Amino acid sequence: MKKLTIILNLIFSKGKILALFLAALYCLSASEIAAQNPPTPTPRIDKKTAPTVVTPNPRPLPTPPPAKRVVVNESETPAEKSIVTESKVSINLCVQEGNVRINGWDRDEIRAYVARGSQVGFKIVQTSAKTKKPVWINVLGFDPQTNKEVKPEECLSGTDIELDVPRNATIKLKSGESDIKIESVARVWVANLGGSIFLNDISNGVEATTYRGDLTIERSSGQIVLNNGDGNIIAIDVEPSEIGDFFKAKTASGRITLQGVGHRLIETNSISGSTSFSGELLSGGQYGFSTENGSIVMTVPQESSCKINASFGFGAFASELPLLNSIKKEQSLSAQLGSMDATCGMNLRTGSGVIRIRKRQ
Amino acid sequence: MMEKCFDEATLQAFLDNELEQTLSQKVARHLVECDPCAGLLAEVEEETAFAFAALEQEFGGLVPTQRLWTKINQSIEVQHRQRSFWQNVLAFFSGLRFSNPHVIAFGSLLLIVGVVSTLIVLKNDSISNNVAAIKQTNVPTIQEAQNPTATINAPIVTSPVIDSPAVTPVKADNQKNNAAPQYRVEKAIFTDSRKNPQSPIRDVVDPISRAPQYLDGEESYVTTIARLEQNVNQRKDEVLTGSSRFAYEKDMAVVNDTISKMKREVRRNPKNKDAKQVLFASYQNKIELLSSVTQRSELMASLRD
Repeated sequence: MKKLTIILNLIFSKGKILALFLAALYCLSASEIAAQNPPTPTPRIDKKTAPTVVTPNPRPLPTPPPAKRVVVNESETPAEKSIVTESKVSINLCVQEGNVRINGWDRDEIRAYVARGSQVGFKIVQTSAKTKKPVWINVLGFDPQTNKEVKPEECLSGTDIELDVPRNATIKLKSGESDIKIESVARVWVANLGGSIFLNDISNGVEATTYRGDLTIERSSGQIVLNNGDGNIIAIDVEPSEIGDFFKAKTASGRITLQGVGHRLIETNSISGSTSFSGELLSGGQYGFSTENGSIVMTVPQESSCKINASFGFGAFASELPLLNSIKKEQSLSAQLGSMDATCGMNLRTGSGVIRIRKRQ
Repeated sequence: MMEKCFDEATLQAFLDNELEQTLSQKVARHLVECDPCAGLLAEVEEETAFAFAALEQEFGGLVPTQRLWTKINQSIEVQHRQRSFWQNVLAFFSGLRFSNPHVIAFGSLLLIVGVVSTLIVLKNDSISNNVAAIKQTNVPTIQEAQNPTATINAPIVTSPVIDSPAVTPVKADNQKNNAAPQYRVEKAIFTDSRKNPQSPIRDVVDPISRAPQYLDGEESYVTTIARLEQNVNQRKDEVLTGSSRFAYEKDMAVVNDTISKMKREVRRNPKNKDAKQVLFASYQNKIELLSSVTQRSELMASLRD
């Protein structure tokens, strides 16, 4: 009561004027603030749970360079050119779009063909000191001899792009959106933003990447590295060309199927997709198969002999072949496959899926 | 004895990693033993792959499924339930329309009146403390500590152990000696706020336990992932479009799910080496998934050059 009296006294005294003045002043400033644009909300970080993260200063995104002009083939016939080279030649090319087909033949010559698209030309980067024939060539989307435009588009584009190259050629191909088929060459390095890649009869190694589409390799040898962002990986009848060559396959979402892969060092990884291996487990081999969410099926001969370390998170393990010295824990198993002394090692890991060892019929 | 076979819908949910943990394990175990079911799973997997390819354009729009909407709504509900009192108060005030000048004027008036009256009341109290007689003549009390080793008295304590007992001024003054205030000695009483959620000292948190606890080697993964995520989030809208974006988000969800499952498992049983191995492998997968976006953008850039 006493407090109320004091408040009332204040209101009915000079304090009233002061209070009203302050209220008016506050209203004025608040209205000014309200008239401005509302501030954008900033995301709140819960300091209690967020770990201390040292982040670098944000860098501005690079501004994309202006689009280069594609030198279009205005002739009624498709663009086609050829050049004599060394048998062992390195060929670089990039393709914006179009189905690409590269085929090895028995001539020491490159023939390039582009249908309904850009022109085609060659840029000799290096020649042989002995024969003066090119050993390193860039295949371009224009002819540098006739086209003098400053920096036209170097990448080829068209509906169909075909190259015939010497069998001993090494191909380096970068591509935007293309279905690619490469056959009967020595070595391949290919990166594709989207589209399937088919490789056949590559004699001395492959490194292939596609970010969307299937990746298939058949009857090839050498060191093999296959990466896929979103799609399956299939390898059939692949073997090393030298001791120590390894086989690696990695896909984010897709199946990995290996059949008759003869490398002693095989490593596969998938995030969401199954892995299946069908073939022999070689003595001294090291096999690592892992998937985040999917099954791993190994189909091997009955007489196979290998040490197994399997970890299966929230999955399960089963073997049709007899296992010796088996130590089974809640989420893992280590054992020896076959009755002989194990001469190879196999690491199998799945986050949530099934690991099965099956007997090959 | 072999269990009953699962239907196609359950196998589909198993593939999509949407089953409960126990059911998922049950399905996995069954699949190991049952060849027809394994075959059916392979078929479902193929059908899914086919559907993804056929519906690529549909997925390009990133239309969330009903199941996803249900999950999102459930998460929001859970978050709502977990909001503290102060968060609710803040939400109430942020819900007010401050752009309305009437609301501002009324609020300002209330604020001014409140501040002025508080000042007056405080002043009045201090005057009455100095002048008025106090009826409380209790003898200062001493509360024995129930647990002298762990003592907490203040609302926020930075260390779990305080050697000296807490000292609080006693408002009840002696009539004869106003100048020198007397103190009541209170040995702190240990209270486990987890056991007693109504306890006023719920906010007492040891800063050491508040910091994220990492396993050996985990911190470097977390730091790398955070750095990569920051970089990737800036450009993923530009780099990933259509079905690629859908696949990326799906894979990221799978990896995150495995990480959270394995973290729980490791917290439950820190000696579980297998769970740790799977956890670290999942971290590695996450790093590679994030890196793939960067590599992809590099390839795009190199094609533009």
